[in-house]
Amino acid sequence: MPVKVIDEFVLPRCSGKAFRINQGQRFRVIEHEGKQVAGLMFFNASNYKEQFMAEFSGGLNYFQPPNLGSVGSHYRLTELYSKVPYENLMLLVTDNKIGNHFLGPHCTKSMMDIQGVPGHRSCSDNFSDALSEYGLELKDVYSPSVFNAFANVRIDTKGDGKVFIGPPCTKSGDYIEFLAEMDVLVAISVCPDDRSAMNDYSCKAIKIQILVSE
Amino acid sequence: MSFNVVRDLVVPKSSGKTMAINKGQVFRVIAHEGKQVVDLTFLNARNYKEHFAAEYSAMLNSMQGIGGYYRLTKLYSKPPYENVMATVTNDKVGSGNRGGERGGHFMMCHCSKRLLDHLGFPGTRTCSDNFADAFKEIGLAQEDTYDETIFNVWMHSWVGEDGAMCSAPPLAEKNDYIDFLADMDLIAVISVCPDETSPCNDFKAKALRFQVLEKEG
Repeated sequence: MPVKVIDEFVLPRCSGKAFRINQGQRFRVIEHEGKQVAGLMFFNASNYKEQFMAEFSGGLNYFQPPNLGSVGSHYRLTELYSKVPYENLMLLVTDNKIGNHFLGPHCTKSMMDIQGVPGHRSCSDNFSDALSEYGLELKDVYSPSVFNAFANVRIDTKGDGKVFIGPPCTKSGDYIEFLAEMDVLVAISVCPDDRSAMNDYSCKAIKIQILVSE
Repeated sequence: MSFNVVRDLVVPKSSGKTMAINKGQVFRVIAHEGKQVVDLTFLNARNYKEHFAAEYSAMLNSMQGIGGYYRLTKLYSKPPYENVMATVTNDKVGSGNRGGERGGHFMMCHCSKRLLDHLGFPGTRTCSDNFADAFKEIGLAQEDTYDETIFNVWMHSWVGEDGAMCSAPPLAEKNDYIDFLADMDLIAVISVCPDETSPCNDFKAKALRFQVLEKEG
């Protein structure tokens, strides 16, 4: 289906931003410079209590007919669902140049403490900034887990289930596209972690495009 | 150090329950009949908005080399609180005493209405129903709570190489237990998983036993 770009903007490195997408609109999260993770939260625009659940969606994608894993997995979502008791389809992934992403926590104050850089900016700060424009704060967000677009993170299949972080497998211009199945508020954190492989040890900008079908 | 049992409760199969635990007390979860999963979350008893975050705790434990998605030592609350709510002080399964290739717990999701629809068992009781009942005991509705990602005690599941969700029967044997030392006043929110469609409870739902222990003297 042909689509038309109706808005586009570049989010500076280490920043947060929230914006509304109407049902039927699409938006793309684009690697402006490459190897940069964008954390994504989603809210029903008319009921902020109805929030996207990352891991929960992983399960709902994996355990679907016709074959386990055909719709998605813990690292690859097609359908994004809201929390219990809503369990509604909020968005669909309609184009995915990269393939794998990570459903899991965003970085926080405590993680920076553990990495030996107390006071370092984290995704918590970015999300707080983004949400404040809509009268929300981090206390109102149920889950610390988000859709970490372009994150190359894996959970060990054995042992304690440790987490391994590698640099994103992306280059400038790669993108993921979402179609809104309801009016949604999107909050984005351009991850400010330059201490791990998460963003290949340097923070960069992310580009957003909003599109409609022609 | 010896402990007195101050509360001892068997929670029937396929049901939900809350229990209060004071700071310094130990919350013991016992595999009353063997291979049975309990989905567990915790709230700060003085501020219900501060709740346990399982996946977040997995990440923080992994970064400190004290656990991950299949075993935890420290249970953290969600941002912006990020406090240690409880500490695992005794874990018969997670310490590897029961063999197996991994910790034997799972910091992940519970079963829900939509999940059972997807699996072809519409109308089956799920952990969502148990949690709804449990939260009702303390006046909370599920719109206002977070239980989607919890500490699935004895759930022997893992994330496969390709992101697959894999499951095996629990490693726990009858009367195995796990101890949580409360680092603040807590409400434990319990779902005794009702699933009989998968290996999670070895295809049969069972009861579990819970104790609150206090240091003597």
